[in-house]
This record gives sequence, structure tokens and C-alpha cells, in this order.
Amino acid sequence: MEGQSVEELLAKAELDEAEKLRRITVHKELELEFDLGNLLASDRNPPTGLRCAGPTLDAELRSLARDNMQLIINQLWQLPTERVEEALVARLLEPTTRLPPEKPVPRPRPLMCWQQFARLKGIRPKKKTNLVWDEVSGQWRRRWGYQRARDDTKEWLIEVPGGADPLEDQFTKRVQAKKERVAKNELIRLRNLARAHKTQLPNAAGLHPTEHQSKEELGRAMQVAKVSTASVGRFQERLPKAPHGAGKKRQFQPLFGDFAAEKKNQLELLRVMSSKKPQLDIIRATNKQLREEDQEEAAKRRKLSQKGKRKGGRQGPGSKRKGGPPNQGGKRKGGFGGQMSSGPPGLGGKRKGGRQHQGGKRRK
Amino acid sequence: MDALDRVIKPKTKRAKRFLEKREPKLTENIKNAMLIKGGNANATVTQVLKDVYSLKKPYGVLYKKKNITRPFEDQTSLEFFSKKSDCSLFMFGSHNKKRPNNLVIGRMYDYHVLDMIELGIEKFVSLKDIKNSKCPEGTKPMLIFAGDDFDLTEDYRRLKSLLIDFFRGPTVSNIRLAGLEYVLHFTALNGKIHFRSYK
Repeated sequence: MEGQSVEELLAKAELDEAEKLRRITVHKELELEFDLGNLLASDRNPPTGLRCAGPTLDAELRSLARDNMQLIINQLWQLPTERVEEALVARLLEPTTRLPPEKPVPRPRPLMCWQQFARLKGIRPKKKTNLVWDEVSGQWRRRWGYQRARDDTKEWLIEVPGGADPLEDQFTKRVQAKKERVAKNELIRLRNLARAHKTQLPNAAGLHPTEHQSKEELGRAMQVAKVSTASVGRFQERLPKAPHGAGKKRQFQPLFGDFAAEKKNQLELLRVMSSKKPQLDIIRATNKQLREEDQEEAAKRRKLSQKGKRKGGRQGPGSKRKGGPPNQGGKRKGGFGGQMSSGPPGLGGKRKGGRQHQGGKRRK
Repeated sequence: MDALDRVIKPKTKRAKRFLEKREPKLTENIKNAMLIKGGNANATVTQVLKDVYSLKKPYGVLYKKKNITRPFEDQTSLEFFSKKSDCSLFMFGSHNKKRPNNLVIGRMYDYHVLDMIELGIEKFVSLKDIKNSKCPEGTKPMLIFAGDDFDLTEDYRRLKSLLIDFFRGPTVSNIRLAGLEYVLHFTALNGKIHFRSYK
């Protein structure tokens, strides 16, 4: 009797073990693909069992999910584990699925003038102390800022230095010097910024009146002044002795020139004229599109203001950028040319001329 | 110049940190998701957005107001929102007679729309209808894709990549084995996708 019950118990234990094993091991036709860095599993088996099942779809899905989950947990438990603060932690691998990044790769910024110079000379930044001893007040004060150690601006007496004009105002001189330093700093910062974003600062040589200006500089200053009107200088009278023909010149090819080049140009022209597909000048198309949108915006704004429903001068979400921001260095010309005809997938709607949101030169 | 495109020179350290968090980096931040309601979004769609928001809790924003836009026609307002809130994933829900219970899932690259997919919701059981305790927010889910469609068809492959991107969660190097709380199971069957989450 006892023997029988022992046998029964053993048999029962064996059955239980078999059940457990069946639960843990799952049989699949195709192996799953695991990406453990993302805790991801892809099951490539065609869901044949599910196609027939109608009302029991949920239960079938649940069992399928349970099987898949068992497999992925098996995989996860096989990873190398360590114990961190009384919790068992598995070290995950790198994710293998390639997903698109959020933002473009950061460009390395070009070194600024001073950084280049320092690197060349091997100058390293000296570590400075936070506080400096101030004799006047007899305490430790900060190096710059509120209540600093040697504050120039608070002096009530400035001695006239030996060689200076006695009637000159030393206080305003000091203030002017500070303003000049600030302006110089700002100029260098803008120059660095322009160099970082590869735009050009307008050349300002000769535009600031100094003592000795050459004839060319004066001429240039005059030209710039003439062109800086609302109609870009078209209705300004010409000065009698000013050289006319300053500014942009059109280049004409000589009459009898390079025959081969002329032939090539004419054939190209004929080809363009006879081709069925219209040639698209991306820059002109984009500018045209932007101008249209500007006009639409202006019309809308006019309508809104006429109705008198000004919501605090709020601009719509699609409002335009005027000057083009220096960020993301505008590569208008050919950069996005490839995107023109076949836009990024899923992009519906009317996109006339490859409308770009990046900055860069707009009107030309 | 537009407010968003001005080159802002930060005046405080806090502003500087804020800008540094948003600029492009080599190891990127976790993608934020924005959940937007369309012009006429009904109760189902709003509940869907709320549930997805609870799945993506610290890395998502749920906009409460309705926005009357159409993602497939005009992407400017979406791009504006993405730039404002620094989100690169979005989910837009709306409801029409012709497209009932519409859901558009998409992602951005450099604050411009990269790709988006429009899905219709056939049957939806909300999280609050399922009576059990929910997982703490911020847990990384396991993702399982079943069905060969997800590898054969181009559209399904794109959808798979989008869904992985959306529901992935933070990328970590170690994971607590006892903390593997829930799994999101996608099955592609007969042109429909069944999305289940099990705990």
C-alpha cells in the first residue's frame, strides 16, 4: 500500500515536472529575433493559428503573448547578472535596432581666434582665486561683480594724468573707454559667431569715419550710403564726380570666343527647351514660394486687423523668418535638392518648391 | 525674426543649461512625445491619448486643448509645437465621419516631420476599465512584435520602427530583473494590428 502511494507520488511529481518544463520551453518554427538592449523581440512566424479563431481571438492572442514573453524572459535571464544594492540586476547589451536620431549630429565648432592663439602658444587658463583682498575696505571681496574689490566706477576723484589735457573730463573719458571695450567685445563675439556659422559679416572698412580715409574707402562709404535707401538706390541722384558703374557688373562673353563652349551652351539650351520635364531652379522656386507665403500672411494679418480681433499681436504658428537665423548654417543650394521630388515618406500635402525651414540667404 | 529662431544668448546659468539640454548631442536625450487632440476628438480618442500618456509618463506632454489642424496637410503647427516643447514624437487624435477614431503617430527629425502613419482605432479597452493595479510610471516595457507582416511589407516595417521608437523608454545599461513589469504585444493579423499590454 505504501509502495503504491509512493509510486503514485513519484509519478505525480514527474508529471508536475513535465508540466513545468512545458511551460518554460516554448516550441516555435522560426526563432525569435531579440534586441535585448531595447527589450524587444520579433516573432516572424505567420499567425496561422489566429486567422481561424474568431471569438476566442483575445485568448489566442494572450497565449501567443505568453509564449513570446516566456522566450524573451529566458533570454534576459541568461544575461550576466550582478547584485546591486540587494537587487538582481542584469547587464543589458547595446540596442541593435537602428532608429533615426532626434537631431542632427553636432558640428564641431571652429576654434575662436583666441583659442587658436592660445593653442599655438601653449597658453593655459590660469586658475584664479574667487576672492581678492581689497585694501580700501579692508576685507576680501569678489573679483568682479557686485561690490567688487577694485571698483573703478565708484571713485569720486580721478587725478589728471601728466600728459593729458587739463580741461578734459576724466570721468566721461573712463565711461567712453568702457563703452568702447564693450563694443569691441561684442564685435569679436559676432565675428566668432559668423565664422562658426560660416556666414559673412558685411565688410565695414571705411564706413566708420576716422582721420585718414583713402579715396577708395570714401568711395565705398558713399556707395553704401547711396544703396541704403528703401529703393536700393535706384532713385538717388548721381553725384557729379562720382564714378558711375561702381557696383556689380555684368559679364559678357566676347563676340568671337570659344567656339566649343558656345556650341555646348547652345546645345544645352536646345535640350532644355525640348525636354518634357520642367527644369526647376530650386532657389528661385523656394524664394517664390516664401514670397507667396509672406503675402498670404500679410493679407491674413490685414484681414484680422480690419476685423479688429487682434489677439495681442499673436503670430500664427507658421509665421516666417525674415533674416534667416545663423543657426544651422543655411545650405540652401544643393543640400536638400535631393529631397525635392521625392519628399520624406509620409509627407503629404502640397509642397511646391521644397520649402525649407532652415535659415540662410533668402532673397537673391 | 521669429521668436523661435532667434539666436538666444543666455543671460543666466539656468538658461544656459536649458539651451544645452536642447541642442544636438552625441548621446541623445530620451525622445519626448506630445499627445495632441484634433479639432473634433471624441471620448475614445481622448481616452487613448490619456492612456498612452500614462504609459510614457515623464517623457511626454499631453495637450489639453483641441487644435484644429490636419497633420497630413499642414505640418507647420506640429513643428511649432515640437520646437516649443522639444518633443520629437507625436500622436494626434481626431474623429471624422469618414475617418472615425483616427490616430496619427509620427516622429520628427530636427523639429521637422520625418514620417507619420495614420491608424484607425477599431476596438479600444481603456486602462481604467481593466481592474488591476497598474505598474509604476517610467518602467521600461518589453516589446514583442508577432506576425511576419512586420518584416515583409515596407509600411509595416516603418510602423514597427515607429512603435519601437515611441514606446521604447529610456536606454539603460542595467535592468533590474524583478522590475520587468509589463509587456506590449503587437500582432499583425489580417491587415489589423492588435495591441495588447500585459502585466
